[in-house]
Amino acid sequence: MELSARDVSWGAGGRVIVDGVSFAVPEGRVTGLLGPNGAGKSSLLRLLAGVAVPDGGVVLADATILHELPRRERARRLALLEQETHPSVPLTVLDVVLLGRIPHHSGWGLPRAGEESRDAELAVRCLATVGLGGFEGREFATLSGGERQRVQVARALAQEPRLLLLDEPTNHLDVAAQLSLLSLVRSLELTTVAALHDLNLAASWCDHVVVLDAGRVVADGAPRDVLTPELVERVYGVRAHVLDHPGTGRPLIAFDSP
Amino acid sequence: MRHRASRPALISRTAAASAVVVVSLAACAASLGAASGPTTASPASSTSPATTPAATQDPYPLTLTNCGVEVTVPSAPQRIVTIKSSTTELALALGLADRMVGSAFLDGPLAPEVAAQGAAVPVISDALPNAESVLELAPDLVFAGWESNLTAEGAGERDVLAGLGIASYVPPAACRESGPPPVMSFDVLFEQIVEAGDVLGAPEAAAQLVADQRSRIEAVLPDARGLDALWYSSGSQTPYVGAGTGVPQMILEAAGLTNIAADVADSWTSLAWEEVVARDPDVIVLVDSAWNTAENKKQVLAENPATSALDAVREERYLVVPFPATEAGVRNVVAVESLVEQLAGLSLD
Amino acid sequence: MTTTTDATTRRARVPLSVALAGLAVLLVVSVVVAVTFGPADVTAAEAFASIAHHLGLPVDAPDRLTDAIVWELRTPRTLTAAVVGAGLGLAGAVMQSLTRNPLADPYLLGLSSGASLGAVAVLVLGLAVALPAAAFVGALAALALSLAIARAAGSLTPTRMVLAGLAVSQLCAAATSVVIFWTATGDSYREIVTWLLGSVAGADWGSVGLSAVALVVVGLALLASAPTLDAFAFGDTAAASLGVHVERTRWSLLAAVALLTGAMVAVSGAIGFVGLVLPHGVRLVLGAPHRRLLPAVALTGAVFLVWADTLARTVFDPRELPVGVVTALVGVPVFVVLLRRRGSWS
Repeated sequence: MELSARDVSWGAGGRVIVDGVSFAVPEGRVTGLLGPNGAGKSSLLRLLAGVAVPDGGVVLADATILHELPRRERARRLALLEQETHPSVPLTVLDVVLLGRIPHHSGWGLPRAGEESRDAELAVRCLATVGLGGFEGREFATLSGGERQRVQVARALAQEPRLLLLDEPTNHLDVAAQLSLLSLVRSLELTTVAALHDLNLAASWCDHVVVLDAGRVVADGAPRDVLTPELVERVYGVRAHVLDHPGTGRPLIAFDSP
Repeated sequence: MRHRASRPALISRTAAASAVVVVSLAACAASLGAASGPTTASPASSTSPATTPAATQDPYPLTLTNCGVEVTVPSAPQRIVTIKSSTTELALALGLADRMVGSAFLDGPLAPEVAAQGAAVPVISDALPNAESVLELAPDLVFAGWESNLTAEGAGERDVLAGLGIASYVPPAACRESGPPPVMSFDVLFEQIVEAGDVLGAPEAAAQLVADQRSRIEAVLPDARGLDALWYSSGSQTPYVGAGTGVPQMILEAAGLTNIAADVADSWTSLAWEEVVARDPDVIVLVDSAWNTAENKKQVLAENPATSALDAVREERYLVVPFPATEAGVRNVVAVESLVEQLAGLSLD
Repeated sequence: MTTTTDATTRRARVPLSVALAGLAVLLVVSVVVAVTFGPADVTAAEAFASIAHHLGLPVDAPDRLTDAIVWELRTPRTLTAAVVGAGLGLAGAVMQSLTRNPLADPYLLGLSSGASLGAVAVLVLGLAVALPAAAFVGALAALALSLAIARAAGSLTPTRMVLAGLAVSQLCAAATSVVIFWTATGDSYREIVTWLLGSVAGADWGSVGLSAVALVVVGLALLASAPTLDAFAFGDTAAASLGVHVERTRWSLLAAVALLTGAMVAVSGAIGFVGLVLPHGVRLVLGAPHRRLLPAVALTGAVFLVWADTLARTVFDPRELPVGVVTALVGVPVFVVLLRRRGSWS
C-alpha cells in the first residue's frame, strides 16, 4: 500500500506541531521517523494513521485522501501500535488480539455467524507468528513488557493490515526484548513506519529514515546517507561519530560526552 | 384474612430498635438537620424540687433532669418562648399568654380553645428559629416541642442557653432516648402536664387543666363496635403509621379502636402496604398537616392498586385528625372526642 | 519483569451459553419465589393461583385482598426490581468502559443527584408533577449540564466527564439540601430519605412498563455496541485506530446510558452499588469482553435486586427497609473482596 504525506500541517493548543511535511513511505520497507522529543513524531504518526486529521495538506493512501476513507476501511488497511498502554479492564491475551478483528465486522461491529470461529483461529495464528503460541488464556496484565508488546503486534496483525505504524515500540523494554521485537517486525515483511528515538536502533533496523526537527522534515533517505555527524549535531545538539558495525556493516553512532 | 401469630416480643423489639437505628443513621447520612420527630414517648424527666411543693412554700429554684440534661429554673418564668404547637398550646392552656414573649415553628393554626389568647403572642418564625431571633426576645425559658429544636442551628444549644441564664425545657414525651420507648397513656400525659405546670410556674392552672381533661376523657364513650384502624401519618411508597406505644395508640385506644400496627413497639413505624392490606383495617385515620393533607392521603389510597381494594377505602371510611393533635399535648383529648364523633357518623354494613 | 507461570494466571472461563442459561433460569426461579415472600401471610399456592389467574389460566383467584397483594403489590414490585437491577448493571458496566474508570457507576454524570433534586422538588415543594417525570427530567438536566461543562473544556475525554459529573453532583446535592432545609416540615423528610436511598416499594404495573421499555430499547442498543466498547479498552487513540468514531460513539453511548439510568431512577430512586459492584464481579467470572459481560451483568443485576428487595421487605417484617440500604450493606463487603482480588489489574 502506498502511503504518502503531502505538505501536511497540524497544530494544537495554538502551536504548530507538524509543519509542511512531505514524504513517501517506501513499500515493503521499514521506515523510521526520527527526531528529538517534541519534533512531532507521534503527532505525524497519528496523522499517517488517520487518527488525527491534518489542518493543511493531505495524507494519501493509494491515491485516496486518507481521512476521506470510511473509518473501518482505513482500519483494515492501517494498524497503529501506540506506546505501551494499560487496559482499563482485565483482559486475556486472546481478548486483546481479537480486538484487531473489530474493523472486519459488519455494521454494528458484531461478528456474523461463523465469523467468530474464523476470528479465533486467525488470532491463534497471529499469536504463533509473534512467538506467543499457547498464551491465549493468559492474563494480559501479567505478561512482561516485551510479551505485551508482542501481543499488541499480534493484535495489529489480526487487523490484516497492509501497513503497520508503530509509536516508540521499544520504550520500556530491555535490550533483548527491543531487539527481538524489532527483528519480529522485520520478519513480517509489511510496510512499516516506526517512530524511534534511539538512533542506533534506527540505523541497524530501518531501511529508510525520515528525520524531523521542530515539525519539519530535515532529511529523508537511507540511514547511511542521512545519519551523518553533521545532522546529528544539528538536530540533536550532540557531537557524534559514525562507525561501521563490525558484524552487520550497518552504521553505528557513537556519541561524545557534552 | 388470616393474621399471622405475633412474634416473640423480644425479637420484634430488637428488630424494631435496630430498624430505628438504621433509619436514623440513614437520615443522618442524608445530612439533614431537620427535626427528627418524636420517636419515643419516654417520660425522661424527673423532678426534684428544692423544697416540697406546698401551697405556701415557694417551689423555686427548681432543678430537674429533662431529656438527660440538668435544668435549673430559678424563678417562675416571665418571658417564655415556645417552639412548635404542642408547647405553645399547652402554655396558652395554662393561661400563660401574658408571660409568653414569642412562639415559633407552629404546625398549623392554634387550637380554637386557645386561639384568642394566642393572638397576642407574636410569632417570630414559621420555620425553626435561629438563636439570635430567640435571644432578641430576652427569654428566661425556652419551651421547645422537639429536643432537636435546641441545636446550634436552631434556638441554641441547651448548655449555651443555660450559660446565658435561659432555661430550656422539652416535654418528656419528645425526648430522644434510645432503647424501647415506654408506653404513652393519658396518665403519663397528665403527669407531664403537671410537671410542665411546675416548671412554667402555673401549678394550679396545670392541676385544673388536668382535672378538666381527665373528666372529659372519662366522659368519652368509646366506640363499641370493636373496629380496627390504621393511623396513616405520611408516606406514599411506604406509609408511616402510628404504632403501638405512642400518642396515636393512646388516642385510638381511648376512642375504642384497635390499632392494626399495635404489635410494633414504637411510636410510629413504616409499614409495608402489603401488611396494611393484609390486616384490612375497618377505618383509616388520616393525619391532616399542611405538608401532607388528608386529601392527599385519600388520593394515595385510592390510586394504590392494592389499597383501593380495601373496604375502608372503597367506602371512604376516613377519620381526620389535625397534626398538632398527634403530638403529646392539650389536643389529644379533643382528638379522641373528635374521633368518637366521626365514628358515630360512620355506619358499616 | 520476568514471565510468570501459567498455572497462576490461566483463567478457566465458563462458557457463555451455559452462564446465560443458568442466570436466566435463576432469574425466573427468583421472581417466582420472591412473590411468595412478604409480610402478609400468603401461601405459595395462593400466590401462584393469583398469578395464574391473571395470566389467563383457568385457575380461581384467591380472595380479593390476597389477590390484590400478590398481583398489584408483590408481582409488579418484583418485576420492577428485576428490570431495574438489569438496567443498573448494564448502565454501570458501560459507564465503567466509557470512562475507563473502575469506580464509575451509572450515576456518574450527576444523574442521581439531578433525579434527587427533581424528586425532592416534587416531594417537598409539592409541585403538581408526577414524581417519575420530575426525577427523569432532573437526571437529564444534570447530564446536559455535566456534558456542557466537560465539553467547554475541550473534547469529551473520560477525565473531563468524571470531573464535570462530580461538580454537577455536588451542585445538585447542595441544591437538594437547600430545598429540604428550607421547606421540609414535619416528617416529610422520611419520604425524601426513602427516595434518596432507593426503593421499589411504590412500584406498580406502570413502573414495570416504563422501566421495561427503557431496558429493552436501550439495552439492545448497548448489547449491539459491545465490540465498540471493547475497542475503548486501550484508550481513545487505539479505538480510533480500530475504526471507531470516538467522539460520536462516546456521546451516543452516554446518551443511551443516561436514558436508561434516568428511567430506572425515575421508577426506583437512586439504588446504589448495583451498577458499581456487579460489573466487576461478572468480569471476574466471565471476562471483560462486552459480548459476554453485558448480557451476564444484566441478568445478574436482575437476580441480585430481586433478592435484595425481598430481604428489604421481610427481614424486619412488618417494617420495611429501602432496598438501597440492603444493596449498600451487601455491596460494601463484596466491593472490599473485589478490591483485594484486583491483583490482575494494572
